[in-house]
Amino acid sequence: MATTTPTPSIEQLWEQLSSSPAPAASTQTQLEQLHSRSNDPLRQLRRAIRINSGYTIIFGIAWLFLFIAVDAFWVRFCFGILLAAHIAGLFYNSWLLRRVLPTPPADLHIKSRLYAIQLRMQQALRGVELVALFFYPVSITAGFTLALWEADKLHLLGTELFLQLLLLGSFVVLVPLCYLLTRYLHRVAYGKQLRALQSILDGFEEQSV
Amino acid sequence: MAEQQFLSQLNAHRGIVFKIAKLYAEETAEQQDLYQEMVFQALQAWPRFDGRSQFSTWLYRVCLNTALSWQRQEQRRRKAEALTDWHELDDPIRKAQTDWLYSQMRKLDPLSRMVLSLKLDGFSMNEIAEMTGLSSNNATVKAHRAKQQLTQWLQQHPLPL
Repeated sequence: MATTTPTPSIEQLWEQLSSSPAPAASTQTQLEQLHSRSNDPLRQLRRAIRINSGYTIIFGIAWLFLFIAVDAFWVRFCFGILLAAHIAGLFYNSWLLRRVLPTPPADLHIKSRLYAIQLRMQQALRGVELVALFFYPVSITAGFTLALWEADKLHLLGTELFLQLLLLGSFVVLVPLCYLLTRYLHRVAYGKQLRALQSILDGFEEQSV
Repeated sequence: MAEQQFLSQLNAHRGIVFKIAKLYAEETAEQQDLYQEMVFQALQAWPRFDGRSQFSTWLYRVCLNTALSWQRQEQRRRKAEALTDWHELDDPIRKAQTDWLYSQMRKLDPLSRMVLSLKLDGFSMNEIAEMTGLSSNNATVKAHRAKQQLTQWLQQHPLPL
């Protein structure tokens, strides 16, 4: 049946929506809300950094074991560097967690807070990518010398051109490959979030006529 | 003590949190998730609230900040029983109308949604610009266009009356 009631305006609808009763929560529910864990965008990164630190410790112990167990100067030298890099990585992760990745308070100016989140995410991801870029050649060399030592051919690395070229070739192929893979994985994990943030921030800068 | 103080203030203004959760998340589970996140972020920021602005204005800013940076979590959902008292309106026509408004507003881009909701809640353009970081001109244009768009949709899709 047709009705003659006039269509309400947007303001009237909003008024109606504003006067709708908000859900009443029990004390129990409210306390659960207060003590729930946050799901903010930087949390995922903090979690990833913590997991990364866990793996760094596990691998660090393994490298330490090899450092002690393998009685060959160049293998020890490489694993020593790798170990030092892992320790430095742990400090770097801790710095990221304390200085870069804390969530900015939610009562800040909206645009500044969004920029801060974007900047912190980009800074942390870029940092991890650059640190990884240092790790790859050292890891490759350590693995290479360890394999040669096992085959009792480590002394050939200084004389055999083929082995030197093979090591160089591993750098040329594996380092960019691993770096690009890291970037790709970052894009998969955080790209959507960063693009969404960028699109909102673009909206702030629009020059409306 | 601080939590109780916060809760009593929050209870008086729960409508703001509820409204923004519905504006920025589509499904009920996501709305509950966002609601919970906004309450959590508000509690974290609560010690910084110095009373210079009204609590409702402060809460609006916290909620919008949280909503704009909030991302839907595919894998993880908070326990549904934590918010079992999330309820909908009983009056079917009113519910249909408010659902319509929420769903149409969700079609707008996040910033237009933000500006329009602030404007409809009585904030001046200067206040909106100050709160958000948009230029006053940009905010005015966004609010105008968003309202125009909604009015057009309202004419195209008559509401249940």
